[in-house]
Amino acid sequence: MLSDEMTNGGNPVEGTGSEMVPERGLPFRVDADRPAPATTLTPGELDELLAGGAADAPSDDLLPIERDGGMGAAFPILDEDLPAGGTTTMSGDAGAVASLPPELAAMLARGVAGGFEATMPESTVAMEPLSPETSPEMAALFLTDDRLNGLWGRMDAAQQAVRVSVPSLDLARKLLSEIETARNLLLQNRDNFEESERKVSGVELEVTIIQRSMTESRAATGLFLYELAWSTLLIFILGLGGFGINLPWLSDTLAYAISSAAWGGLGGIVAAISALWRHVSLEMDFSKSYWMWYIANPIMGIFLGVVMYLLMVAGLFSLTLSSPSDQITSPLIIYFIAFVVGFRQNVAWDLIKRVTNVMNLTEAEEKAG
Amino acid sequence: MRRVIAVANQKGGVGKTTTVINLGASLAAMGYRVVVVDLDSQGALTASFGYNPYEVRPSTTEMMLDSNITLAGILRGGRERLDVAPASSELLSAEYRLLKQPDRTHRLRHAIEASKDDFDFVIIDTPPNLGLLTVNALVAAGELLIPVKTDYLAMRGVRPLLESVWLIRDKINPELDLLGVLPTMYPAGSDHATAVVEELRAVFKNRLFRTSIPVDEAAAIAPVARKAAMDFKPDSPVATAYRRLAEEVSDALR
Ligand SMILES: Nc1ncnc2c1ncn2[C@@H]1O[C@H](COP(=O)(O)OP(=O)(O)OP(=O)(O)O)[C@@H](O)[C@H]1O
Ligand SMILES: [Mg+2]
Repeated sequence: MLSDEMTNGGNPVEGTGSEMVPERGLPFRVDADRPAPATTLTPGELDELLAGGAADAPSDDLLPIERDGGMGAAFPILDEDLPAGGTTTMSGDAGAVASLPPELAAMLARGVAGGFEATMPESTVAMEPLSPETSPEMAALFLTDDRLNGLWGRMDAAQQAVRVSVPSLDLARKLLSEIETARNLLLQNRDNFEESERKVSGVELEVTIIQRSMTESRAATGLFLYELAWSTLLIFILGLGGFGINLPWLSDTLAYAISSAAWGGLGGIVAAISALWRHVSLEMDFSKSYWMWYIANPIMGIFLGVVMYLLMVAGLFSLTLSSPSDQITSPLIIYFIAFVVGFRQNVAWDLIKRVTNVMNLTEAEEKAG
Repeated sequence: MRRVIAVANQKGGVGKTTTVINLGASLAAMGYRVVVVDLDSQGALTASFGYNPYEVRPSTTEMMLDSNITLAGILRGGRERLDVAPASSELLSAEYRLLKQPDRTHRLRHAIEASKDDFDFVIIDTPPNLGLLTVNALVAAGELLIPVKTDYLAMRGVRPLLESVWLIRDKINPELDLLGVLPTMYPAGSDHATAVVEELRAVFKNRLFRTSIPVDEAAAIAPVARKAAMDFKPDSPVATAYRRLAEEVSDALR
């Protein structure tokens, strides 16, 4: 404990340093050996703030190092070395409320409008004195009503933001009840600060994602038009010959291939448009960082359409189609499959993998035989 | 001369890693041979020097588990005159495996002592807890540097650390000395932070560093460029502060 002599004129943290000191004192001698520190500190602001002799060090004997009088301490790693029965709090509730996020710090600096006392019952604001030397008023300064105020302000802001920005009723309800819980936690006990803050941060994050999705949906419009352009082109190509291109100077094989490509591309477009719809309108978590996927999907669909066609012509689908030898009866089946692989591209990759596996197997058998 | 400095505080995010990087780089810039050791499975220090904690090998994980591997055996280049002992993400599980070993608290000490290379400073970054790895650092070190974030609750968190230091001095490493307490993330013009620094001074007296580390974005951005703040933005307040800290450290240990 620090003594009463440690006074330096209304400094609100004064005397609380003793909370850092273990009961048997500091494990080090700190008053010897090195030249006394100058009163100047980096950064320069400290200079001015300290001007006026506040930095005079108190006399030496404030922290007698009494190595024998203290308590034993439980330190799991050294368990077997410990005197029996010793315990101490290693957990340190101090960590619980500690670090302030920058937004809260900024709010703190601005001062949050609306008094905390006005919204909170008296009893929860009051706190036990931090140390015998600390008066309740001083303690209240630490408790930093400001901080609580800051968090309270963030809750208000988050609540408002949910009302304004969250179009889904279910989600809005869920988020508002999160905020409510956070408020209750804080009201119950200031030690809940951190947990409460985490909840608020969670809500803020959700709201941020939704708001970002809204601002970025302009990019979504661009992507939608892009998909539309592709589909116009592909439908035009298909339109050249009913469901398949059918030009006199085109060989059947080539016509089928081109049509498969177009159908695959259409599958990719449908997948992209439905993803746009889902992320922009339904889940509201659209992020333009996925633009490449939307751009690439129709093109990938086209490639996969062709690949599927080739695989089928090569008769590698004997498992899925009735018999490899008779030419594919209806091109419609090819187109359908091309569309599906364009739409569900991971199915296509699966199929391709299976086919390559089968090929490896046959090769191996041939070698063995 | 070889000085082993543990940078520890069981509270997370108080600037341990930032201090190790920038104190290390500043001492290296002064001409010392420096090794920085990452004992945190999160590998922030490792990543800050551009190594991937998910891939890097050998790392402090292997060093802690295999007593034949010395500190010198896992070093990688970081900067002129500065080497890095990287951490891998498996360090966390290593900690559990280590629990069964009889010399579990002395592994790091032995690995450092077994290294013949001539380092001036070995600076150890510790994880934000008081587990076995932090204990290893405190056992290996002759000096303890405690970064304390300049706010009241962070300051209170120093006590559990001091309690463990008591134990370690009593049972294992009586030579462990306090190099100093370093106020970090000092927000310009904050009365509260000033009061906290005052309070730290009242308790730690001559062992509070004269230098405080200001809040400065450069500290947070520099690792993205895989550089110490010194090299990333030499004129930034945080680089200046760490340079002054390095001078203080070098003076104190002369
Ligand atoms: N002086 C400073 N000004 C601004 N930001 C800082 C400063 N020092 C550190 N930071 C930032 O604060 C965060 C925490 O710092 P750092 O990683 O050094 O702390 P730590 O104690 O090592 O954390 P952990 O306990 O998680 O290992 C980092 O994002 C870092 O970039
Ligand atoms: Mg760290």
